[in-house]
Order: sequence, then structure tokens, then C-alpha cells
Amino acid sequence: MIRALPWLGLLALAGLAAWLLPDPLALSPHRLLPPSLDHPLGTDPLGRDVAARLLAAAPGSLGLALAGLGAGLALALATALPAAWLDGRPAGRALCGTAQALLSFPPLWLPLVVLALAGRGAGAQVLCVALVLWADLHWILRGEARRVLAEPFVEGARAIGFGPTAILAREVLPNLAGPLLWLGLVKLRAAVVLLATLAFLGLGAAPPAPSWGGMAAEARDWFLDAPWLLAAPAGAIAASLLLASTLAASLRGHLGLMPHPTRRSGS
Amino acid sequence: MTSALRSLLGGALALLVALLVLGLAADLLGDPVSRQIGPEGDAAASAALRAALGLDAPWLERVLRPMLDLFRGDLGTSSWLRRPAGEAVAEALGVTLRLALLAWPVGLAAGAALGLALAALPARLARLPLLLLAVPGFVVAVVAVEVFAVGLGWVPAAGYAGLRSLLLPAALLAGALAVKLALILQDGLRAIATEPFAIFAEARGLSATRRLLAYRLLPASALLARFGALQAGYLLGGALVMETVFALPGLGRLAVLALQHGDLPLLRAAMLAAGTGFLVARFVAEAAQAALDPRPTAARIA
Repeated sequence: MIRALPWLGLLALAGLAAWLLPDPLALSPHRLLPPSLDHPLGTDPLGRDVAARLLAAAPGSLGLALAGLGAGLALALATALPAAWLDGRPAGRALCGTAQALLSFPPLWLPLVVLALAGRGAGAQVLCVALVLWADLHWILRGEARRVLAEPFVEGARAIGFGPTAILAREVLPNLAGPLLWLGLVKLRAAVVLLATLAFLGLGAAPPAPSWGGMAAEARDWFLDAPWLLAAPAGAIAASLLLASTLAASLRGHLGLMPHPTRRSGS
Repeated sequence: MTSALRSLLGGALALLVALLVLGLAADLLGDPVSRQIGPEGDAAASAALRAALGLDAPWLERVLRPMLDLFRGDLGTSSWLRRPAGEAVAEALGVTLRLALLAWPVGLAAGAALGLALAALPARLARLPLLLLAVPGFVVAVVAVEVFAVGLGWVPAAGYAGLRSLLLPAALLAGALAVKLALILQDGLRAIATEPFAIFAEARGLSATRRLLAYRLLPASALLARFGALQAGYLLGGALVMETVFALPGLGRLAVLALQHGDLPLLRAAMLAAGTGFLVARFVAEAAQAALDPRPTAARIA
């Protein structure tokens, strides 16, 4: 946890800055200024403060990624626990088959279908993240749940007459808390990158609302004159990914968890 | 082999379901006619366009017709390009295929070499390429295009004008593939080094080169084959980001533009091409792995 302290300090600094910085949507004649004391990360072609926009974009970039991650974890739990209990039976196989089927879309194409159907709102973005992450999470959590189901205390619970729901909710679920938290931190990378990439492709939130991927797309035309426009969102994305992986590594040390959950996806 | 076949069938089913759902969604997306002519447009003109696009039929027919046409080999008409969607997709597929065929072998070879080199390094140092994964691919692509294409002018920055346009995007794709492959391969090589047969080879006094090639790289080749073929599918499925950054008229860019224009027939046709390519690559990946490493199937029979 000690290694994560500088990162948490960075977060606190960002919170403080959100207070002091100007309005992220306010236009001004000071266009394309390099970083200075007044504008710590410079200004964009419309004279808007880049640092303020970066922070204003955090809920839409990081927040939606977290929401999608939470939805994906919940979805995966809802299918992995029954699939582990019904291992080998038709219902369990159907659940696994559905998860497997979603892996048959090339990456980024599943979101295209979701966005075509559900529009461009925040809900659609959350759904994209949840569905893309679901299959991987399902397989990992199912494996973990099967491991727990083989433990002697589950045998004991069965012997004193617990039903499947009680066993899954009271014996298995608490034992998955560690893996869940750690998986969440590991998969946060995929979630943040997916949303940023969609925004970069022009499939994210509508223009005036800032997002890190959208800011990177806008920065393209000005890269040679104003490289800070690209460096700022890229740095924000990289910092949040490194923060998550630092937290995940220290958490893994504490919990003694398995090393490589992401092997099968290849993405 | 049977499990590879089963996943091929499952994937084909999933693809069909996605295409059907996209057919159902035509009404949800808004009316392509009012998008093109405008809500205040000439009533006769919109009625004519409506009939031309087959939108005046009852909804059940509108949903089922694309599926029936699909089985007859007709992918429908793009409402945005006003031409058969199959033609547009076939052209775009050519560009994406060239890009993938250029990037894939280079990335595979570079990844194998990098993986071997990383496996020879101490474990702590070999983790460093993981840091590269913290930078999203589109940021690297934008920096590369601005520096090498716009700044230095070595290659075209946008559009497709022959092989030269594909060099930089293919190099970037190959680089991304190589880093991922190297990380996976070095993990595999490290794991194999602790297997009893690898230790026995060392005890027999075999040369380091022979141990590396015959006792570590050969067992790891199943991993390489599976991952390599899967990645070919990803490349084929549309290097969406590269095609957008370099404005290449490939399959991924076509799909993104179709989505932005609310053009479902075109999106459906692109989806069919990308999905089929991906499924075939995945089938080859699983069959190759089964051929190179028969252990998992043997375990299932026992």
C-alpha cells in the first residue's frame, strides 16, 4: 500500500485543482498558450484551459469506466456463480456458451453493435464496457467459485442442509471478495482504454462535453504546434492505468492471489 | 479438433444473432429517409426513397428480408453510400487484408525474437515492456503519424495510395502485436524452464542453444501458434484505430462511418466480413494448438 501513496497524493492534488481552475467550457482569446502558471497545462485552440478540461473529463472517462467495470463484475458474478454450481449440466453449459459466444467478436466490434442499438448515451458506454469485459470475468470467477465449492466448509454447509442460494451467497461470495477487488483493478485498464478509444473514434459523448479520448482526437491537428494538447489526456490515461496496476500489485501481495488472469483473452 | 469446431459453430451462431439484432434495430436508430432528405423535404421524394430502400414494407418483412437476402448472398444497399453494401465491404476488405498481411508476419517474427530476448533477461527487467501497455494505441499512432508522415514526410499521412500508405500503420500494428506476443512468450518460456524435462536437458549437458530451441521454444510453439493466429483475426477484424488515424478506407473505418451515418445495412455487411474472418482465424488458432500440443484433448478423453 505504501507504493500507492504518491498516487493517492496525486488524486488529492487533482481534487484541489478542480477548485482553483477556471470553467472548462469558458472560451477566451488566449489560444494555444503553452503551459504556464495561469494555465498549468496550457490552453486549447478555443482558448479553453486544458487542465480544467482534463478534470472535467474525468467523470466521463474514468467514472464511466468504473461504472462499466462494476456492471461487468456484477454480470459476471450473476452468471459465474450459477455456472459453477451447475457445472457440466445443460443450464451451466448454456451460461458458459453465451459468455464464450461474446468472445467471437473481434475487439471493438462488439461496442459497435451496442452503440448502433443503444445510442451514444452514458448508459450505452457503460453497457459496452460491461459486455466486453463480461466473458473474461465470467471464466475467471467461475474457476474461482469452483475452487471454493470444493472446499471442506462447503461440504459442511451442504451437510447441515444449506440450499444452493445460501451456499453461494454465504460461503462462496465472501471468499470471492479478494479476487473481485483485484480483478476490478486489473480490468480497469481495459475499461479505461476501451472508452478512450471509442471517444477517439468519434463514438463517445457529444463534442462540448470533454472526454480524454475526445481531447486526444482534437489534439491531432495541433500536435506539431501544441504537443501539450495530446500529452495531457495521454498522461491522464497513463496515470490512472499505472495507479490501478500499482494498487493491483500491492493488493496481490496482500492477498496471495493467482498471477495471470488475462491470458486467455489475448487482447 | 472437435472443441475447435464447436467454438466455430458457437461463434457463427453468435454472429448470426448479432446480425439479426442489427436487423431488428433498424427502427430504433431513427429514420434514414428523414436523415437524408430532412423532415421538411418533398413528400414524393421521401416516398420514392422509402420504397427504394424497402422501408414501406411491414416490419416483420423488414426484419426477415435482410436475413433471407443474406443467405442468397445479397447484403443489401447502403443508405449512406447509395450502392450495394457488399461491393463497398469487398473494397474495404482488400485494404484491411493487405494491412493485416503486412503487419502480421512482421509482428509475429519480432514478437518471437523479443520474447526470446526478454526470457534471457532477469525477471524484474523483463517486466518493463508492461509499462508500454499504459499508453493507449491511438496516442502512439497519432504521435507517429505527426512525426513521420506530417513532420518528416517519409510516408503519406492519410488516404490509401498503394503500399507506401500502409507502411507506417502496418509497422505500428506489428509493434503492438510484437510487445503483446513477447510478454506472453516470455511468461511461457519461464514457466517451461522449471518443467522436469527442461531440468533434465540441462543435467544431460546439452548446449544452451539446443536447450533453448528444442526444449523451450518447441514446447512454447503451441502458445505461439494459438496466440499468433488469434491476433491475425484481430487484425483482420479491423485495425479500427489505425484505419481511423491514417484515414485508410478499410473495413474498420467503414464500420465506424456506417455507425456514424446510421447506415445499418453497411454496418451489418462489414460486421459479417469482420466476424467471419475472425472466426476462421480463431478456428485455425485452436486447430493449430491442438495439433502442436495434443495434451488438453488427451486429458479430456481420459
